[in-house]
Amino acid sequence: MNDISEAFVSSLGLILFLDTELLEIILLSFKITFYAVLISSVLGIPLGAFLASTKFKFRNTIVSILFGMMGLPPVVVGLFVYLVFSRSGSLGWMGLLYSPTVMIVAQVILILPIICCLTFQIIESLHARYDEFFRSYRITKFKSVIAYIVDSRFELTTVILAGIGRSISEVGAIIIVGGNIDHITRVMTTAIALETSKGNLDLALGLGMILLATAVLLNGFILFLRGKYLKVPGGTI
Amino acid sequence: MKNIFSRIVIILALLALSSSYVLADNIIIQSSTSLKNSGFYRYLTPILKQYTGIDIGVVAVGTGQAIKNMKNCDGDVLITHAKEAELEFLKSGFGLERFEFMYNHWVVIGPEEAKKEHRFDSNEMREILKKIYDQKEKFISRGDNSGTHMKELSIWKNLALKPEDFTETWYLETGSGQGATLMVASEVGAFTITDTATWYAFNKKRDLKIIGRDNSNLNTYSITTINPRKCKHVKSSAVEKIVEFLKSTIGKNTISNFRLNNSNVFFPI
Amino acid sequence: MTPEDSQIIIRDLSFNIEGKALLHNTSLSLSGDGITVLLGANGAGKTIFLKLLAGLLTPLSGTITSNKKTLEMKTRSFVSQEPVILRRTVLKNMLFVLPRITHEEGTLAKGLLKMMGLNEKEHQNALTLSAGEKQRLCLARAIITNPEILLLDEPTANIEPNSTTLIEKYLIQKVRSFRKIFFVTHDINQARRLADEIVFIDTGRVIEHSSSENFFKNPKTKEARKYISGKIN
Repeated sequence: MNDISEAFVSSLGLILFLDTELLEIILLSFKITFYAVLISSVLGIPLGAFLASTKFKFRNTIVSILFGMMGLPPVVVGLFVYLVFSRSGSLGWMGLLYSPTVMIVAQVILILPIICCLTFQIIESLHARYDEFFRSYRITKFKSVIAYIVDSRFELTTVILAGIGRSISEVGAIIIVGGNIDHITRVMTTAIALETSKGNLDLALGLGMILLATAVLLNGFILFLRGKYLKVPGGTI
Repeated sequence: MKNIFSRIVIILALLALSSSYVLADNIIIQSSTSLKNSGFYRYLTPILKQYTGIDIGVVAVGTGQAIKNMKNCDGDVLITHAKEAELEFLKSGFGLERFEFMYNHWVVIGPEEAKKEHRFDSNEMREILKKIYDQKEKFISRGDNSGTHMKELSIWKNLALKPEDFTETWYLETGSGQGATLMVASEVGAFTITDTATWYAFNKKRDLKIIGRDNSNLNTYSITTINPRKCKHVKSSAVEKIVEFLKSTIGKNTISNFRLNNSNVFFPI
Repeated sequence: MTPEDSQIIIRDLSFNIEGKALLHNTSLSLSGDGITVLLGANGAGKTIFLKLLAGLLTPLSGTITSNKKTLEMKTRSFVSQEPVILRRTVLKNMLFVLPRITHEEGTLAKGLLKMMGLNEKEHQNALTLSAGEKQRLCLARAIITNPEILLLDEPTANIEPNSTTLIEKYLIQKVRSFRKIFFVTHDINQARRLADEIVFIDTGRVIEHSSSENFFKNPKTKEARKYISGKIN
């Protein structure tokens, strides 16, 4: 229990003295998660909705692949992205290695399948109910995909929260492609990894507690927004 | 309602964007982990910025990995502590020049009782490791191709011993960073090798003590520059400035002034 | 168009579901106007027949034509047995099926809602309506696209009586503003109230087809007689 109580004290200390370095790390974590989840949602939600409501030749193959990608080990994705963006790699000319941008790229690869597949499952059941209706009114594919998304907006916020959780706790990929560089690519999870490898377990645990707290606060905030702004005016949810 | 929601999103997005950094004269150092873990870079960064105007970003992945990354041209300069690997890097044509700029000592760490019981006659690292092998004492190896790991392997080679044959009994390869390795040594009551800077920076020593050291070979840190013909994007002039700084009197003083637990842990060459 | 031209001709229509033939080489000539009720017990195949007429199912073989041309999708509106309501306001549900939303269409939508007695609930969450109100909304929604043919699948099966009355009254009053109305039901009395023409379906086959008057006065098949008298099979 010693290490844990020490950790708690450390984390309180860090917070109380508003350690600027800690704030920097937290802000970068949020920035990376924000962009990774935003891009994954903008791409993944319509894709999932489309796949759930359209039958075409290779659809089931594509869906199986996407579901399989949910199980991609982050370290493997990190290595792959590293090799691509390394100076000696095909996209090396972009000079993006060891930057927050490439960390976002790696996370999108990890999170997009999750968001897409969860959306797929949600829309699949909606499609069973709405399909005949859409067909009978000859609603265009574009309009129907939007209708599926709009009508499942509540359930989709949960999907986004899942994406956020996955992103904010991720470390295997971003530590490889980001390099865990002080002030540039160090986020909460990679800082925890570093302190652990140094043997500073109480500091690592303290950071972990802060990570957990920020994740909980973030989730709470989003659920609040959902309750306030996503319901249908003039009636219950 | 929708307006407020979208306004919040926009504010968050702007906040996120604003924290981006602008590339000044910024170089990437591929480094061994021991230098980073000791806090040396944190100490050095503002001083370097002040005297050369250069911002350094350190990727600390271990000597072996650092050299591999440099061969991919993913960095501007190499700072490591494994002479043989560095010379091989020069030979490969990727390295341009190598400067030894500071040193400290290699030490053997082990449980307190081993020291008390005088299990070892000499405090010479080579002798101690031989005895560890003979007595099958538990030993933790970094196992990760880091500079420390390479040092350890060189001793076994020199003794013509093969501890890898005993990975299931007393020779334990953790594949982790220095701090974690020391933690395992502490938990299990085992021996391991490290350098004095890492040792002083490590603050969970518990019942671990310095059992001996390498009196014949120093732990030498070198900075190796990159051949711009092999790696076109290398910021050679910025790296030059850093090398000049480390060679200068101010640089040497900076190294000497770095203290952990009130001890000097690095010595300029 | 002469009455013969406007007739809806069904020729050799067949449909399969899971290997079982439901409609077998059926050929009929349905009248070109008025309300045709597809009558029969639950599971007889009335819904399938209706969906084939609506173009929502593709037959295995055969054709449905009128004046020698196949019926166009956009001329038909379908109201399903279970109302499909989107998660938005009543008015927005109406506007959803329109390709363009202009001021005109908006007024039209509100007018139809008023006719269905839903104008007070325009801006209410449509999912909070009662079953009957939902079905009235679905009917209003089916009408706003200006269909020639209206097809309804047991729309009043599970709703309260006042909504049923409202819907039936509307259909009877406004039948002339449509080319044709098809209505599926298993309720004999509802059929009596609404039908001009009866198509009686039993276990996947059309076994009787006549004007409503003739059907109820002189049912030709024993199944029809049994059904009218209320006997269970």
